[in-house]
Amino acid sequence: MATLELIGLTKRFGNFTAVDNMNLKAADGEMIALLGGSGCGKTTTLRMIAGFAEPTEGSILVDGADVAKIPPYKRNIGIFFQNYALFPHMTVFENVAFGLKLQKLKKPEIAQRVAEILALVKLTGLDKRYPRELSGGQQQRVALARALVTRPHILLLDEPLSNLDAKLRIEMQVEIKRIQKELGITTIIVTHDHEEAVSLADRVIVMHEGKIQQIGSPNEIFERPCSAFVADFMGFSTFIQGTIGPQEGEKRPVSCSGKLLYVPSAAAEGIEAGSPVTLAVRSENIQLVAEEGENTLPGTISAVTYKGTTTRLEVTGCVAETVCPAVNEYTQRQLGETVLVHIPAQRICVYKNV
Amino acid sequence: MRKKQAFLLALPAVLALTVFFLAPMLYILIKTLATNGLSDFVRFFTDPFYLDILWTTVRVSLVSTLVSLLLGYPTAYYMARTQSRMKKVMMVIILFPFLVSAVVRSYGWMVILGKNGLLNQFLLGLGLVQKPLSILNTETAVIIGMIHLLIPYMILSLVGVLQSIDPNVEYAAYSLGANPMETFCKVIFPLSLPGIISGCVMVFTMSMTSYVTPKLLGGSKFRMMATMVVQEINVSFDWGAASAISYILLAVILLIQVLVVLSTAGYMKRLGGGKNA
Repeated sequence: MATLELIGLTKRFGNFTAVDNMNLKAADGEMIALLGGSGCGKTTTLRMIAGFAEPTEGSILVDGADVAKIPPYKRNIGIFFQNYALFPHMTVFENVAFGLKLQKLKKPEIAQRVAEILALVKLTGLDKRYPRELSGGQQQRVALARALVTRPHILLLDEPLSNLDAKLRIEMQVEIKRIQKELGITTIIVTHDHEEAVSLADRVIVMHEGKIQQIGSPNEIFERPCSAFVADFMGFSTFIQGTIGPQEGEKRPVSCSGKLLYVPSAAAEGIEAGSPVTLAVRSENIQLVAEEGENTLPGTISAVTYKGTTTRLEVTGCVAETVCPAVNEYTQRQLGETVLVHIPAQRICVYKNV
Repeated sequence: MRKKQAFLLALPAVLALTVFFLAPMLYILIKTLATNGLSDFVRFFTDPFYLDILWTTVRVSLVSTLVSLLLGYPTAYYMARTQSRMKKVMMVIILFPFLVSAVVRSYGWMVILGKNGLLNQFLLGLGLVQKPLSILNTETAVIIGMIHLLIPYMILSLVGVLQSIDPNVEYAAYSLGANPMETFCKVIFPLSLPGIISGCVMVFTMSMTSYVTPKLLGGSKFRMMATMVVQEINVSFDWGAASAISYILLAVILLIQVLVVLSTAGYMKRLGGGKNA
């Protein structure tokens, strides 16, 4: 348990800057997600914290002390690898006990701590198995137990759920969060999956090309991304170009390919009238309605994708861009059908084009 | 049906080995036993002269294998882990000796190790030795030549297995508090054991049966099993002794291989497919 601080952390490979001047402060017991696509620098950041890669510039403070000169095997940082990286020649017990044996603990204490942690990850009774005799979910929990059993100051999780099927993912999300809270370990989780990030973390950091794009609570990041890029990454599906007008009461009009959409003035604060803007909306916030009103647009269904609980439509002809509502009604929607799309003003995010 | 077709594919090679290798081997054995009974074998095991040759052969092979392993392992580890272009360069350097015959390479060593050879001139010139060392025509020269000849096999066998070890497994060991030495002893070494065993068995076997290197670098008084076979045939005209020696050589190699396989079988089984996750 400890605080973690990154100050101006930078990593360059030749001319390529993988991590660019990263600043971050994690409180004791906090769970922070580094979210971004491949090559955004999130894994490099993790490797620097663990000590596997050396920062080009900047420092990493654990409990206020710089760890730059400390080799990885003296940092006491637990790490969980995306591919688990279990020791294939050791049993579950030996895998988990590996770090404890190195700490020169007595045998009974090792046995007790391994038993405790295996109970915590619900693997009791499997201690004599070899990793290849376990399912993916079980291997993952062994890896988690192995990283936790040494009681590290900081826990690093690299894509902890990406190799699991949908049912296991949900189970493990709950498990990881439960265990992390139970032990109160400061945790950094690296992921490319925005759902994983918002469901696990107390705070989410969105990264792109080595830079932090946004830091915020899961809710802020999910509902109010700070840029069109972050919105795109967070699963916003509909992006509409337009020109914003002056304030009219609580709202401002945006002229989008000849049609008018209203957005809350609060969402467009500091954007001058006449500026070109991008509007972003999530699929699940766009509805099909029967009667015309504010922010309703007629269009034609050009694609229907059945997704189980919802059906995702692509509607053309509303504005220049395709609008993608997600509907969860049982009535079948046909290709070519004319529909009325409603984009609620409160659900629109507005970004000034640069 | 599929099995039958697969067997057809293997048939030409199986036939060739049966006709040109297995049959002559059996013929030699039967002929020796029919003519002299077991006397050639008994003589080998009762005559210190022959036993000494067997021991020399095993000793030279063990030392060559061990030194090849010790020299080859760091090279192989570097090659397995580096991302630089050096890897391709090193691979070419390691494969290059295969293009030069063992005879030519042994002559090369004669030029270097001889009384007036490059090594002695160098050492004398620096004043490190007062009179030239006699390395050529000793066991040391044979071992040097042998290592040079066989180390590529060791390296190639090690690179394969080291490459298959997930680097994250090493990082995991570090993160759990293992220093580089502990990581090597507890993780890398045990995981690379299949490559170590296959490399050692290969190098040991080739060293046991080598003829050119001991013949050219060991001098006339140095004898190993393979050179002794030729000597029995060409000098003593004793075909019985020659076939007994060749069969004893074969038996010793098989015995050692079986011992190695048996003693590591349990561990290999535990490693299973080797990689997982």
